[in-house]
Amino acid sequence: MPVDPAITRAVLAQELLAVRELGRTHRWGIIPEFGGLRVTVTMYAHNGDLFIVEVRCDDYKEIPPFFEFIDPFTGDRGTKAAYPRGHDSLFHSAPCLCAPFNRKAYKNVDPLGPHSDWALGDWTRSTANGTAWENYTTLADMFGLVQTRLGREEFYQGRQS
Amino acid sequence: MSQRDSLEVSVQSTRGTKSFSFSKTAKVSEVISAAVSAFGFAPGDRFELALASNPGEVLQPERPLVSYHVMDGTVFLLTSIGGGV
Repeated sequence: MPVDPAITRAVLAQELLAVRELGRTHRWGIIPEFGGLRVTVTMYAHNGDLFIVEVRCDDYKEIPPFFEFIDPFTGDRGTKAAYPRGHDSLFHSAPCLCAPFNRKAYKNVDPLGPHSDWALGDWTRSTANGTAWENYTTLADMFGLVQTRLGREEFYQGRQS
Repeated sequence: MSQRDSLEVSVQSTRGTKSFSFSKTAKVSEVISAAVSAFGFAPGDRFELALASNPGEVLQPERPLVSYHVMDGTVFLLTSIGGGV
């Protein structure tokens, strides 16, 4: 069911408070586009590699947001060069941020989505892979999880290409 | 002159920042448990603690706070690790 954009804007305004607070710790650059229901965040890996993460939030939180990475050198969207590679499958080789909180991970939304076995409406209650995904239901939770894979030497393995 | 045995610290998470008081000999794992509960995170996850001033270096759960030279006013960062799917 579509969400009134005014409601989503109010949710974004509220959740961005925590994103900004956490962003001061991690040196995030946070650019909200309330009209377009979109948030773009620049993040750094432990070695200084820059990543640009764009999150589309139309119909949030009825359905999860849509995460996409943008190549900071070319502006290309969704390429392997735009994506980090980690120690686990959170950054899937599709490429895709593979988590129930990412709309792109659902095959019925995006052909690159690895999962045809997930239901969009369950995203806040998912226990996929034994993880309590209810811990990742705010934008700060989501960006925080991405940062774990960038900020730690034992997790971050460079760009996907 | 007596010295206090407690430390007044803050823990930052993806859900805000809260104040806590711990014994100087409290272990890092005790801080994690208290913070996970206070922030309302579901416990079925892997949680780690770091100093907010150095978020890339995880504190060892079995070590006491004093071994990291924690002082009043120290800000910790609580991180949930989740899992790739």
